[in-house]
Formats: sequence, C-alpha cells, structure tokens
Amino acid sequence: MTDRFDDDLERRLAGLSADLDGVSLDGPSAARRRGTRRSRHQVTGGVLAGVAAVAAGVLVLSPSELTTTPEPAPPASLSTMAPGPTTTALELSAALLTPEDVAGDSGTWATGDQPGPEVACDPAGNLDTMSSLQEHAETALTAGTTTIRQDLVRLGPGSEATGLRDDLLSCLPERGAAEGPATTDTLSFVGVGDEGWIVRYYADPADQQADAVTIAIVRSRDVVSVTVRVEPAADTAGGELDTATPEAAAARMCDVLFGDACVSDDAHTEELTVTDSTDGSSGPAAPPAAPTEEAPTGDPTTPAEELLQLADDPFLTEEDVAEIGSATGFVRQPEMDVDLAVAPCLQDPMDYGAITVPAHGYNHELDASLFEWVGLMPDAASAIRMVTAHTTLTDCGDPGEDREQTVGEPVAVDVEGADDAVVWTVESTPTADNPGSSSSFAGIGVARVGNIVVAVAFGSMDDPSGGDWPGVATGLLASAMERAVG
Amino acid sequence: MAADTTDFDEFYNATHRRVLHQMYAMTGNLADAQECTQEAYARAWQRWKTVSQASSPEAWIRTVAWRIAASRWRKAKNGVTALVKHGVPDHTPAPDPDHVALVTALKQIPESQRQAIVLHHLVGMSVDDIAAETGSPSGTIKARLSRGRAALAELLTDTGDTAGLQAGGEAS
Repeated sequence: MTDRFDDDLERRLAGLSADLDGVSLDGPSAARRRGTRRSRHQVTGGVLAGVAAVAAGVLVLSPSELTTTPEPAPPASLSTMAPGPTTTALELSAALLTPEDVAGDSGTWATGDQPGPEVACDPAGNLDTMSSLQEHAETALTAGTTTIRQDLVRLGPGSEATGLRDDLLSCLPERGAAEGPATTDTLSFVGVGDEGWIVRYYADPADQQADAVTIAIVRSRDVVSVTVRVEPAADTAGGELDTATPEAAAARMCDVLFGDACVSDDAHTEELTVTDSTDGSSGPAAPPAAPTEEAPTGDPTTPAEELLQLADDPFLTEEDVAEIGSATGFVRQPEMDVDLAVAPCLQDPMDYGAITVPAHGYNHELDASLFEWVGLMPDAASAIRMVTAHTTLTDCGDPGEDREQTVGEPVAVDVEGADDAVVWTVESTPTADNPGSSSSFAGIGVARVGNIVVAVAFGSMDDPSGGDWPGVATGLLASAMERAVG
Repeated sequence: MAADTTDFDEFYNATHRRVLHQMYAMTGNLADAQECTQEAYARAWQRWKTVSQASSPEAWIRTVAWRIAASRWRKAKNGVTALVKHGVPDHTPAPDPDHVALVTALKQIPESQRQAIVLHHLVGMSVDDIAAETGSPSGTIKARLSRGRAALAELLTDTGDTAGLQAGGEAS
C-alpha cells in the first residue's frame, strides 16, 4: 500500500519534468552577469567607503592587496554530479574571516602563520571536546600588535552556543572584581546570527602593554563562530568595543555557508543578562579564585538543562475553559479536526523541531470554538525560537473574498508558570460588497516553559474579552501551562 | 578566470534542468522556480571559487534556491494562499491535468512538508541526508514526510486522482 503510493508519487513528481519542455532559464552567461553586476555594486560601495576613510586619515588597503582566500582545488568532475543523494554544503574553511573582511579596520591585515596567542578563558580550548562537534576550522589574522583569531565549528542540528558562553562567563571574574583580569564588557548581540555574545577583559588593568581580549561567540543555525581579538591595552584607548569583527565573521559565515544574510541592518548589542545559569542569578556566574591560562574543561554543549515532559493528559480541562471571557460552557470535543489554519499567524511547532504536537478541540453552544496545541520541543532554545517567532506576525492566512482582515499587534504577557508568552488577535470583517456576512474574531496565544510550548486559539463571531484579549488569554495560558507539564 | 567561466557554465548546463524541476515541484509555480533557480546560480557565481569546492555544488544551489523561494513567500505573506486559491498561474505551459492536480495538492501542504517530499521522492535523498541539508532532526523529517504523504493522499483522493491510494508508514 505504502510502496504503491510512494511509487506513484515518485512517478508523478518525475513526470513534472514534462512541463519544463520548451522552458529554459536565461543561461549561464546571464547568471554570471547577474552575479557579477551585484559584485560590482558591492565593490563600488567598498571603494566609496575607502575613499571616505582615506579622507579621514585612515589607512585603507585596496582589495587586491588582501588576498588570502585559498586558490580552489580543481572543481569536482562535473560528470560525477549525479542527482542522487547529497550531503551538505561547503567546507567551513571557505567561510573563515579573510583580511578583506576586516579591511575597514586600521592596520595592514594578513593571515598569520601561527594559530594566535593563547588567552585566558578562551572558548576555542573547549571546541574540540564538544560532543556535537562535526567540523572545525580556524584562522588567524594579524596587523601589527593586534591578532584576530577565528574558530568556526559545525555542530549537530539543534545545537546551542550558550554552553560556550556560560563557560566563558564562569571562567572570568565578575565585572568589578578586585583581582584578576578586569572584565569590562559583557553584551548580547541583537540581529547577529541566531544568538551571540561579546565579552572584553583586560589581562592586567595596571599594565598598558598587557592584553586586552575581546571574545565573541555567534551562532547561526548549526555553525558557531568564535572570534578572539588580542591587542595591547594601550591600543584600546577610547574604549570602543570591536563588534565589527564578529559581525563581519557572521556575515561571511552565513553568506558562504548558507547563501543568505544573518546580520541585520540594525544589529546592535545589549547588556547581557543571564537568567539560566546554574544558580539562577543574573549576570555572570561566580568566578574562580583566579583565572588560569588553561582552558576550562568539560563539555560545554551539555549545560544542565532539565527537559520537561508532557503530562499524560496535557490539555485544558472543561473546568479550565468554563469561562473564556464572556463565553462559557466549552466542552472537550476529541473528534474535532484541529488544523493550524484556524489560528491565524500561529506557526507550526514542527517547523521548529517539535518532537510531538498533540492538539485538542473544544466547542461552545454558541458556535464558538477553542483549539489547543501542546508542543514538546527538543530543547528550550527551540521553544524560545518558536515563541519569539510570533513577535512579528506573518503568514496570517487569507480572509477570503469580500472580507478584510485586521491583525492586531502581538503583545508579550506575563503568564504564571511560563517563561515567555505572546498573544494577539485577528478580526475578519466583511467588505461593503458583502453585507450579508458576519464579522469574526480570533484570539490566539502562545506560551513556553522550558522546552514545552502551548498555544491556544479562540474563535467566534464576537470578542469575548471586551477588547482585553491579553487579559483573558493570560489566565487561559496559565492553566494550559499547568496542565501541559508532566 | 576563463577556466572558472568554463567550469561554471558546464556546471550550469549539467544541473540547471534538474534544479529547475525540483524547484518547480517545491514551489508549484514555474515562474517562481525559474527566478529562484537563476538567482541561486547568480549567487553561486559570486562565490564560485568556494561553491565549486563544495561536496555537492548542486545541493548548494538547491538549498539556496529554496531559501530564496521561502523568503519571498514570507515577504509576500499571502502569496502562497493566493496561488492556492487561484490555481495554477496562466503562464504555466499547457499543463497535463495530472500535473495540475499534483502541483495543486503540493501547494496545499506546508512548505516544510513539501520540501521534504520533493527531496525524498524526487531527488532521492534519504531522511538523514535531508536532515543534514535542511538542518532539521531526522525525526522531524520523518514526521514531515509522513504528514506530507498523508495530506497528499487525501488531497489527491479528493480530486479522484489516486484511485484510492493511501499513504502512511515510515520513511527510510
């Protein structure tokens, strides 16, 4: 039965090629022209920036002086490029920082022969011990007394970089500590990769020739970039933190490996607040007595994240849904079809790696309905991504002909028992050409605790909350969270 | 440089029809497939020295083309819905009714399921290879395949198109 379906599906998919007969792309020369034209625009921008920098008295090198990208090996034999199963992408080494990437910085950058200086609390010391490590590449760039070293690692799907961050923070003394290296900056990146942090410390604050070290960790998908900039403390006069290097590293990483951009135009940093450290405190964890030149040991990919499990019956009870604002008397309806389409703008937890997403429906004598989804995610990071994806609402569906849809702004709410929660409303009203139809209201909410996500979607002709859906949804989500966790 | 051009052109000529076919199945729209595929090749040319060294440049092209398509859908949030609603666009060349039914059904399942279906059943990739290429856990790919096949079976049955075929079972 299954084989027959699969065979038929494969035959029909293959048959689509007939629709391509007589259809052609613009050809390789057109593709090259399109690519080259875009490259020229980028180079032009770089040259203009260089002119401005020279006018300001900064040494800028032309791109032709800065070539470290290794010459490619002969391309794979095209005759072997069969359409069969393929694996991933490019070697990480192709995505390493080059002097061109930091050419806007002062100095004459070149690829170093040595791996770069060892520094205290260097995350790179832990990379090769990570259990999820699949690939590792590194480079070092030097300009005068400044060195930038970069490590790129590919981890398994679903991996996080928070372990590296936590090890770095726990290795360094707290900011303001009387002894040891002086940590001056602990920041999070916003708009750079999927997650990222930057930390700067001074090895000996009393010695202007001692190292000033800036360490940045940025993850995009399953690849993590660690950049370590080491320079004499005296060179950091003025105090400006080098965020440009890790941003350039992330941009190159995503461009080369994924063919897209992962550094937004408004990328910036924010003061780092760590709330999930082992002691639950805010800020870096308590430091060791004094840092050593040895890298911390242990596997940083296995932070103490306790995964929650779903309850045997993870859904809202009829008592929980007895009152949803002015709507009362909902009852469980196990036979109801539950489709995400009933929840405008709600994204599928499966798209964020959910292990399972059981769902349940409830209805109401006055033709109102409530749907609930409970997602068991593989880790908290996946759950966070799923919830935060709703801070910008997209894919909210088509209201249908002769109707207009109004999507309300997503509102972050404080739900008891939840780490994060977002709610919103979507109203659909008939246009003037459609006077016979009624308006409809949908109130949606999604909340998370640990690695568990719950979502609820209320739908009826009227708003049962009297305009305060966040207030009604907060209580509903709190009950849902309580029921969902086993 | 001339050697690079020759390599790129040979690669393009050897692979573009396969990629276009795959993107057509993934997007359900021939014009979108053409544009995303050509754009992916343009991006490949921009970094051909590195792309040509990939274990599979064709996989790179396919992945980038898919991301371009997905990005465009998200920017035009109701675009897919509109396509579903209005059916196959006018510029699709004289389609076989069987193809119309399949493309219409494909467009009605979530894009992640559609991608998994095409990679598995058209490209011939294993679950693990799809997981690696898409950066998703294998279990998620299996679930997407299972759900996608079930949805397709239902959709095609609704159109009287599968003669009672049923989906299910485990992906390998």
